[in-house]
Amino acid sequence: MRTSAEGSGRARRAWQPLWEGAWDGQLPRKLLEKLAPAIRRRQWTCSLEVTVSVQLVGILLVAGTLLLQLAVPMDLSTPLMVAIALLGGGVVGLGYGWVRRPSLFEVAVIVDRRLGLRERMTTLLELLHTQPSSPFLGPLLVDALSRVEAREVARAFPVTLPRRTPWLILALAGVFAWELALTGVTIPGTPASQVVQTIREEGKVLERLARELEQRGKVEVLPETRRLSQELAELGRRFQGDRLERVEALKSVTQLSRELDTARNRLQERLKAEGIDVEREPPADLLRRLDALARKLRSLRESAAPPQEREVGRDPRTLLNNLDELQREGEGLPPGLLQTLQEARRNLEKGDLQGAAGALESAEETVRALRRLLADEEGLSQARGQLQRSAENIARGGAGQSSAEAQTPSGREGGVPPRSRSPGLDQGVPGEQEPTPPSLGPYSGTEPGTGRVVEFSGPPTPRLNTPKTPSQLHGSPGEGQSRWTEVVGKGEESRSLLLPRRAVLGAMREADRYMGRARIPAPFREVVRKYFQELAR
Amino acid sequence: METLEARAEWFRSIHRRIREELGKVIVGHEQVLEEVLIALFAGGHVLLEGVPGLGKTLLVRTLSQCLSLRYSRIQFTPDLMPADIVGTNVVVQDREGRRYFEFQRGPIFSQIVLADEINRATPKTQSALLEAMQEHAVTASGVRYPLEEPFFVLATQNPIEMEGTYPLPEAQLDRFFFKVRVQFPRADELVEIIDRTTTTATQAVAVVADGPTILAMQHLVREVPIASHVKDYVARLILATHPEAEGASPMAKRFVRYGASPRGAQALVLGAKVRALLQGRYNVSFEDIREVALPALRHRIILNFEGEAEGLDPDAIVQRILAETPEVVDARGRPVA
Repeated sequence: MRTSAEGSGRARRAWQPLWEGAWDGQLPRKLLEKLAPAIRRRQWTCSLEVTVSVQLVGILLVAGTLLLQLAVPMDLSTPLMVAIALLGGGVVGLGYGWVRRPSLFEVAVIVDRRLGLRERMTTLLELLHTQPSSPFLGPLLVDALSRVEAREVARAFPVTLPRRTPWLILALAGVFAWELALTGVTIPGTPASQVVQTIREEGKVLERLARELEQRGKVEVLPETRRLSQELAELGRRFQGDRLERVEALKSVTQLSRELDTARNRLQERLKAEGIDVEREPPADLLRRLDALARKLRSLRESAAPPQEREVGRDPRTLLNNLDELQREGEGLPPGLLQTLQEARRNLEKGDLQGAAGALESAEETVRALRRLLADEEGLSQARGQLQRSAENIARGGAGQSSAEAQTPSGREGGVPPRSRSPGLDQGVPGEQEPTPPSLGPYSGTEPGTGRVVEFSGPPTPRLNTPKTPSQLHGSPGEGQSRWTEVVGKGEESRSLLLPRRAVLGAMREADRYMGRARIPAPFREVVRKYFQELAR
Repeated sequence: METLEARAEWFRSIHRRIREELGKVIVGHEQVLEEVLIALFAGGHVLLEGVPGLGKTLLVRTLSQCLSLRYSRIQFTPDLMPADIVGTNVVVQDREGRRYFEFQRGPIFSQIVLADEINRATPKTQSALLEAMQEHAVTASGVRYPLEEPFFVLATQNPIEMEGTYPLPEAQLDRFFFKVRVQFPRADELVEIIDRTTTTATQAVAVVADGPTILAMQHLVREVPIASHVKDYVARLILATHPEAEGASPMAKRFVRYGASPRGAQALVLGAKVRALLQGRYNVSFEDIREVALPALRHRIILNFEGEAEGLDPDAIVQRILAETPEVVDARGRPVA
C-alpha cells in the first residue's frame, strides 16, 4: 500500500467500497494516511524477520553439512555455502516482503496494542467491513482518530534488529570457528577419513617425486624443473601436514598443474622454435637420440681436432663417412643442427679439419642445449602426470589404488606410465631408494585397530580346575509368608480407668485439630464430624 | 433521534447517579457496586457471597429503591417450597358460590428479587428459580407466566457456614451472570458505617431510573461492537478452563473438574461491553474482558477433589489462565505483538 489517496495496495482495495458507500471519504482517508507508514514499516520488519529466519536456517544447514563432513567427504566450500545461505535469505526475505504485504487489520492489531488504543482501530476496521451502517461507526472513528491524531503511528513498529539476529550471529560464529579450528577433522574409519588418508599419501608421493626432480634439475641443469619441484615439494608437505579438505587439495593441485602447464608451454614453444615437435615424437625417444648424437658428435669432433697433440684418425675420408652416417641418423633433427653438420662436411671436404671441428663443436653445443630443454620439459611433464594421478586418487576418495601403492615394486611395472620412465629418471639418485618396510610382526597391525591381541595364558593349574563352590544363594525376591502367634489369655471383667465420655471428647478434639490441619474439602468435613458425634453419643 | 454519543453519555450519567444514590447508604464496596451494576445493565443475575453483616441485603434493597422497580425478598430456609417462590393455585369462591382455581403469584413476580441465603433452601426449591432466571418466565400447572422486565435476581450466600446448607448445583450457579465476593470493610469504612448506622441521621434514596430506562440501557449495551479477535480471546479463555480441551491451562488440567460454560463467554462479553461504555469507549477491549473475568468465571469453574483438598480458590485459576492466555494469536496460535 502506497498512500490512501491513491488507493493502491491490497488492504486499501479491500476497504474501498466501504469508503465510498458509507463515508464521504475524508475521515477514513485520514485514518489510512495515518496507517500507511505503519504498514510500510510492518512490511519492512516482516521482510527482515523472514530474511534473518531463512538465513538462520541456511546457516544451520551449513553447520549440519559440516557435521556430516566428519564422516562423508563432500566437496563443498563452507564460505561459499555461508554466502549462499545469507544471499538466499536476503532474496527470500525481499520476495516475502514484496509478495506478502501486511493487511490493514493485522497492522491495526499491532497499532492498537503498541499505542494502547484499546482495540479501537481494529474494531473500527472490522465494523467498517461488516456493519458499515452501524451507529457506532461514526463515534468510534472520531474516537480512534482523536487517539492517533497526535501520535506517530509508525512508532508502533520501531526499527529494531529481528528477533533471531543474535542466533544468526551465534550460528555464523560457530560455523566460522569450526571452519578455522576443525576443518579436515574426520571420524576414523569413515569415507571422509579415507579421503584425508589419501591426501596424506599423495602428499608423500608428491614430495618424493619433487626431491627426485630437484636432484635431477641440479645434475642436469634444468631451471624450470628445479623451480617447480620446490613448489611440488611444498604442496606435498602441505598435503601431509595440514588438515586439508578434498576440494582445497584439488584446488591446490589444479593451481600447480596450471603453473606446470604454463612452464611446459613455454618450453615447448622454444623447442618448436628449434624445430623439435614433442607432440610428434615422445620426448624420451628424442632424448635418447640426442644423447646418442651428442656422444657421436663428441667422438667425431675429437677425431677431427684432438684435444691433445695425439694423432688419431686424421683420415678425412673416414671422418666424412662417419659424418654421413651421423647425418643419416640425425634426420628429423632441427634444421639448424643439420646445417651445422653440412658446414662441417664442407670443411672436411675442403680439408679444413679445424673448421670442421669448430662446426662439430657448435653442433654439439646445440644438441646439449636442446637436450636440456627437452629434459626440462620431460621433468615438468612427469610432475604434471603425477599431479593428475594424485588428483584422480583424491577425487576418488581413496577408493582405488593410491599413487604410493602404484609405485610399490609390484605396482611400478604396470602403474607408472611409459613417459615417466625417462633415461634421466632411470639413472636414479644414489641413496634415494625407498627403503623396504620391515615385515609385520605377529602382533602388529598396519592400521590402528587392526593389531591382534594374543593371550599369553599358560595351562590352568589343577587348583583352578576344581569345581567352584557357590558362596551366595541367588533367588528371586518376593513376599514370603510369615507366621505369627497370638497368645490369648482368659478374659476378665474390670472397670476402665478412663471415663468413656472423656476419651471420646479427647478423640473429637484431636479429630478437630487434625481436620483443621488437613485440607479436607468442605463437603467431606461435615461427614467426618458427624462420625465423631455419633461416636460420642 | 439521539446520537450515539448522547445515548452513551446518558448511559454513563444514569450509572453515575445510581452509584451516588447507593453511595449514600452503602459504605465502601466500590468493586461490589460496580459489578452488581454491570450485571444489571447486562441483564444478568448476581450471586453475592459474603459473611453475614456486610450489607448485602441492604445493597439490594437500596438498589431497588433507586431503580423504582418492584422488589421482593425471599428468605431461603430448608423448609421453603418451590410454590412459596413461584406461587400456587388456590381454590377461590366467587359471589355466586362457584369455586375455581386461581393462580396466586409468588414473590418471584417482581423485578428485583433478593434470594437471601439461597443455599439454605433444598435443591428442589432452588431449582424453582432456574426457569425464572434463564427464561424470565414461570410455569405453574402447565401455564407459562412471563415475568415483568427487567427481571433481576440477587442472591446471597454465606461462604463459611456449611451446616444445614445445600450448595448450589452447577446448573443454578451457571445462571448467575456474576458471582460477587463481598469483602470485609476497611477500618475507615467501618468507622463510616458506625457513624451512619448509630445515629438518628437517615439517608433518603432518590429514584434514578425505572424499568424502561434499564431496558433501554440493556439494549444499548448489546449494540456495543466487539472485534473478532477479542471474541476469539474470550473463546480461548473459556476453553482454557476446560481440563479436557486442547488449549486448557495446566492448572485447569490439574485442578478443574468442569470448566466454564458458554454462558461464561456471554457473561464475559456482555460485562465487557458494559464496562466499555462506562469507560467512555464504543468498543470492547481486552482489558474489559480481563476486568470482568473473575466475577464472570469464578463460579463456573468446578474444582476436582485435588483442587478442593488443596483449598484452591477458583480465582487463582482464573488469574493464572488470564496470565497464560495470549490476547492475540496468529493462524498458527502464536502470540502476536
